[in-house]
Amino acid sequence: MITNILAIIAAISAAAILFVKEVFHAALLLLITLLCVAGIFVTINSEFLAVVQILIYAGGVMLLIVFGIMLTVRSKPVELPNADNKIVSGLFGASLFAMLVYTLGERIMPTPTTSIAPEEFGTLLMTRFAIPFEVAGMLLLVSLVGAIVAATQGKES
Amino acid sequence: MDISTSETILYLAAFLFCVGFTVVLTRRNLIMMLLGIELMLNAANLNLIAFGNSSENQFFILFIILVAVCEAAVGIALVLRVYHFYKTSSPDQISDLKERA
Amino acid sequence: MTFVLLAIAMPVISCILCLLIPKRFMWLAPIVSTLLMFVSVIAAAVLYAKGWHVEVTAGIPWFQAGTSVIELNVFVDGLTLPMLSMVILISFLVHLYSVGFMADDQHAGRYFAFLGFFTFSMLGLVVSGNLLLLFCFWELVGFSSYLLIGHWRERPLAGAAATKAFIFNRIGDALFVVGLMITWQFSHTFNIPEIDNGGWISVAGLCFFGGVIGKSAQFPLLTWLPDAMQGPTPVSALIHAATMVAAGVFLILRIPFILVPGTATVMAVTGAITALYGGWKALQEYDLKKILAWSTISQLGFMILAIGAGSEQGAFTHLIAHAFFKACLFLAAGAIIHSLYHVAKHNEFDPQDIRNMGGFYKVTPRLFIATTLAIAAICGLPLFSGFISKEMIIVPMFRRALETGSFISWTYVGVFFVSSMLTVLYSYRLYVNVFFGPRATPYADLTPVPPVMQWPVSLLAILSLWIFFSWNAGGPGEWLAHFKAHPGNISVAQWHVIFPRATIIAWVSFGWTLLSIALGWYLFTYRKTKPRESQFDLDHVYDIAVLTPALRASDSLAKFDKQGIDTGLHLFAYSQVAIAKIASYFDKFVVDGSVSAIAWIARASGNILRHAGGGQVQSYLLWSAVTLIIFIFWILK
Repeated sequence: MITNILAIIAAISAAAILFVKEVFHAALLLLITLLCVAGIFVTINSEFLAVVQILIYAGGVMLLIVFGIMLTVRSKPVELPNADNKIVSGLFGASLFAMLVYTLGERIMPTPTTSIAPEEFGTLLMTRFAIPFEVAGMLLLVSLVGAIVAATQGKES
Repeated sequence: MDISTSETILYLAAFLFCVGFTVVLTRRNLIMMLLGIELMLNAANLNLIAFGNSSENQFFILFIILVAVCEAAVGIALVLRVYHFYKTSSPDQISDLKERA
Repeated sequence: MTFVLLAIAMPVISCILCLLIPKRFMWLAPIVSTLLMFVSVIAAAVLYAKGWHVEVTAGIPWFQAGTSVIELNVFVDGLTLPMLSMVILISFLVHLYSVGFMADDQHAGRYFAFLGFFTFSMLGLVVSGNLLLLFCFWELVGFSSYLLIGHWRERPLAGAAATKAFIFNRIGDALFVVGLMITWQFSHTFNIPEIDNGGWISVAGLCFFGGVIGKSAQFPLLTWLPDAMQGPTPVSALIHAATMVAAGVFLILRIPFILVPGTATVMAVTGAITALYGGWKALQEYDLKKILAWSTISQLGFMILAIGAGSEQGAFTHLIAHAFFKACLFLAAGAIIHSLYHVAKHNEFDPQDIRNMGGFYKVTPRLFIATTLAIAAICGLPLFSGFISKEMIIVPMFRRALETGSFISWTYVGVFFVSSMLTVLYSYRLYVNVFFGPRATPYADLTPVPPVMQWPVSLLAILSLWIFFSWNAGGPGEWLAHFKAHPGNISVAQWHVIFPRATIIAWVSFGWTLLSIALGWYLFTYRKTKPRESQFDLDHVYDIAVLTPALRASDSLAKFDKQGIDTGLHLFAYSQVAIAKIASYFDKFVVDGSVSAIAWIARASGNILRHAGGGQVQSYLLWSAVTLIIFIFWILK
């Protein structure tokens, strides 16, 4: 029940992203969607993922995006050029959704397994998934350096 | 987690993916396009979790989120560079590589 | 087969090369085309060495009309080969001669190109194995002669002469086409060996003969040939000796089945008239080249007469013999005119008028000797080709006259002797006027004749000797005598059996020639006869008979046009305007509307397509996604 409500909210706010004019509003709507997704994670007993979702997405990524918006979009909302392919893209998106729903209706759903507790998750992270974890950390570091270099190099020269 | 929840999540994932893709296609702003990509990644996560929340699935999602973060960080950095260079964040006006008729 | 094609291909290559050579390297054109013609000569020589009684037929399908296939085919037999070699040889010599003659000409490249084309057309005509293909080349010969006669395009007379030649040929060719139609209707094939005989052949034959009349300058259509003297002299030589006019005679020999009695009589009569008229006109001309032109007409009439009277072998031999000595005479005349040209231009007299010549035997001894040989040949003196060919003409003619005893056969014999005499007379007049008599021009002023122009003349003069036609100086020999395995032809061995009086006739003929020379001496050296000023001219007849009625008819038509037709036209115009108004409304609303609709559709679809490739990243993304998804669904199905 709660899953359904959260799903509907997420869907509505996601759909609203398509129609809002301001980029900042779009970012806030995205935030709502992400939080709802985090809620859904909680309802299906994946608390760790929910926390990660909130921390990284709602915290990190949204922060980045909001900073990006502040640094690029001027205070006065700029009249963006009208999208020429709006209709075609919209039709494409709708038909894609229709096709996916049709496909989902045909397939037999798998039975989900039971979840694991966050403590167990932490243990696994340090034992069984230690190498992927380290590689992911490496990736994060590299992308961090890359982002800093990419964002600042132009100003020095 | 029962089947109806799983189905709901699948439908939501499909919807989010389509919306994200449409956003990428229609909005004339690089940051909006990034937003769309984030939505699509989320949809992928949801799709994955709908088929079971075993530890492998959860770790997969964790790494996807990590990669998404990296992508967002690098993407935003690039958008900033492009903005400083071209003074615009509309992808259509960045056309240095376009063939001139 | 290979050598036949090689021989034919060389002139074409020469033509193309000469047209392609840039202006700066124009001096290359004569050399290149002459060398290519030499290759052609070698190919012809190889063909000869292989033996020339071999028949070669080969062909590829050309096009299909209904169920019948027209072939592009080659038909080489004992008739083709001497003709082919003669054309190639004379064309080569003319090329060589032209190197000297056209040395100062601005448009030498064009000239040599057309010369090559002309030769090619004639060679194609000679070897083509079906009448339709032959007709194509027949037309090409006419066309290229038009180009060559009008080579000096800055002279208005040359243009007029070229046009005249072209139109006169067209008249004949119209009849030729009718002949082709009749042939197709009754025989359903154009392949020369396959055409079957029938009653229709006499009509078709007359039509083909109409073509011959135009091409070979026979009686009604002959005045274009003297006018064609406006072209460069080597071209005249080629036209007169080898290619153009010989084509007509060759055509009749190629399709001898048209020689049914009625047609043959028409031919003989036409030939007789032509021979006499040409000889008579040659006696009255002063223009050196025109005398030779009328002489050619006379000789052609002679050949046609011979064919009509049943001496095809003789006619063909005479064709070849005439080709050599007439080419020699023309080239010699060209050389003389060439040497006179500059002094004539300076002193403003006509370099072609024989009254302005004289005493040339000392100036150019080699030309003098060559011309002497050629003149002897044309007069029919023994030891020369003319004697043999005339012998071969008169003997069967005489025999037929004796056998049938009909008046017309004896008339042919009479015409033969009269026209021989005329030939001797005009040759004598020409020869004496040019080479002897008082000098009209100081030698020092003459332009020297380059050796490259003298050698072809000499060679052609040598070719006028009897040895190239027959071992026996007094009659037919092994060489050209039986040119074709034709039922009417007589082998050498049979010759003296069939014609026991041949030797007597030879002596009579020789005596007649001597008598004619004596008459010539009497008329032109002793009495110094001058031709009358007012002359009968066929062109005047054309003016009275064709041009004046045509002009009158066109005048009255113009009057009718003004009074009758114009009123009708006005009414018609008003109705036209009314209809146009209605049409314009229809146009505006229906036609324009639909056109606009089409334009709108085009624009809309264009817009869609434009977005697909409009340089927008998102559009690219969209279309690639669409493609990807279609692809995925297609795979998953």
